[in-house]
Amino acid sequence: MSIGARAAAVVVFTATFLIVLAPARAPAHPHVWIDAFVEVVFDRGQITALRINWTFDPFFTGMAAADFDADGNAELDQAEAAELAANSAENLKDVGFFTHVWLDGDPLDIAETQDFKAWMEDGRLSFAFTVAMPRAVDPTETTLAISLYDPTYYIEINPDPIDPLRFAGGAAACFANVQPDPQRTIYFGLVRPTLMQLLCSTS
Amino acid sequence: MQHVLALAAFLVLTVAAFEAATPVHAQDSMRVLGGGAGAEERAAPVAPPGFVASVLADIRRIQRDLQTRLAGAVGAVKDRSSPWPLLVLIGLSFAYGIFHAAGPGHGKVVISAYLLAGEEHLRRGVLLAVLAALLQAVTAIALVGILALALGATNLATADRVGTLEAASYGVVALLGGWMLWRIGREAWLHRAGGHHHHDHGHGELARVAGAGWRQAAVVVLAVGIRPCSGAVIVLLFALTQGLLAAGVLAALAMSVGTAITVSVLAALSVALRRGALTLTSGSNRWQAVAANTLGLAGAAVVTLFGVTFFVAAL
Repeated sequence: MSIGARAAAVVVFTATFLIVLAPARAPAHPHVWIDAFVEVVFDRGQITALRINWTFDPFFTGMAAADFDADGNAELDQAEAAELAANSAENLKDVGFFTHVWLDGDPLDIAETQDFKAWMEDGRLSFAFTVAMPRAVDPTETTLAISLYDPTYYIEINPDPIDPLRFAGGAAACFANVQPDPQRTIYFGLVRPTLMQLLCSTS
Repeated sequence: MQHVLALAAFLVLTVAAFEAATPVHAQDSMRVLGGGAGAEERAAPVAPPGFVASVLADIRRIQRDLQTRLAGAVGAVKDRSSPWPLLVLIGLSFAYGIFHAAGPGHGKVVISAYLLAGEEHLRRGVLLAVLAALLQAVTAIALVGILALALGATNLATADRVGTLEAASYGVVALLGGWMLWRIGREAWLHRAGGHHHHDHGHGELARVAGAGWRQAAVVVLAVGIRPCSGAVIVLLFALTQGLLAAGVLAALAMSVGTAITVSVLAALSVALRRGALTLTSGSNRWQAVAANTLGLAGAAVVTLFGVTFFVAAL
């Protein structure tokens, strides 16, 4: 075998090898999808809370709704939805509600939420819950950053592509800076969660 | 050739180290939404090159799109006046399987490494991959049938059980790897200790040395196949909530044909890779034996490391 043919064989050999083994476990693989948006709650110009809104994909909706359909009428009525909400509110504590918040870069410890609600709308299951700020935050002095993700990437949380950060209670001089997180990655460095920064001016 | 083999061994170890460094307990996240214990956060230390990431991002997008369509297709099957919705469901499931298998848990590492270690027959390698994929669908159907249908477990608890079977799968993989290491290592040692050349050794003999027997192949199929296809479990559970068990079973089987195609491509590459290495060294029996033993030991090492690491992580 000539040197050239041998070198070519070596290249093919290693390339094939890499194709076979390298990406074998890396491709991401979410099984549950959530469409999300965040309402920033203002009180007299200060941020007091975040209201997180999730809407699940049809598969998860179907499975969860059937699990909590206690009376078997194929509908998730109010009492059943409340049961699902209570369960999820408790269990999601272990994962910080997949909600990551930073105040000037310092992570907020999210141990509790309020007003955890679950309901069906247009055939899809939705959750909403409130994360209270530990203190009223002046957005012109403190930069608030929010990212919603499951570090194991079993669940993919997608912020609303048009309007992921909404304002309640009046905050005219604020806008949302939404971009793939330049610092953090999940799932073998393959996925950059969306980072939502709230930028406000004093005027 | 020494350099090539050294490079191959190095790559194997690098990949093994990468695999070992990144166990993931994704199933736990399903749990927290329904009931049970919480998920663990794990670091993701190694980032693949950008083009790989973007291709994989495309695969994820396609998969998501297909899954949304699948949900709609299952719902459409309820209308029994036309056979089309069922055919659409089967077609979508098949397509979903092809992309779904790009994700973890379909035995790509185990099957590739196993074939690399000792299989030179393309047809046998592909058959192995196909059987493993089909068994994953059968396991999914059995899991849903037993837990959700017979025992009345909740959907989310049933989906969660994939993790348990996954742990069992890793355990069998670890045992398989140990067995391969022992056999291939012993053969390599005996040849060395014998101190004389076996000029009558063709590929067939080397393949036997590496242990490509049917019984061992059956263990590979079992090791991979006892972990149900997570996509099949989800489509089955969803079909059940709609009262469409038969459609769900058909969808799960169609999906496994799709995953079989993806895993078969990797299986074929592995066999080709091994054959290439043995052809490259065909000028010398000694070097060919070195190539066969190196691939054998490297493949066995990957299988063992993979099985042990993920089994321990799953406990």
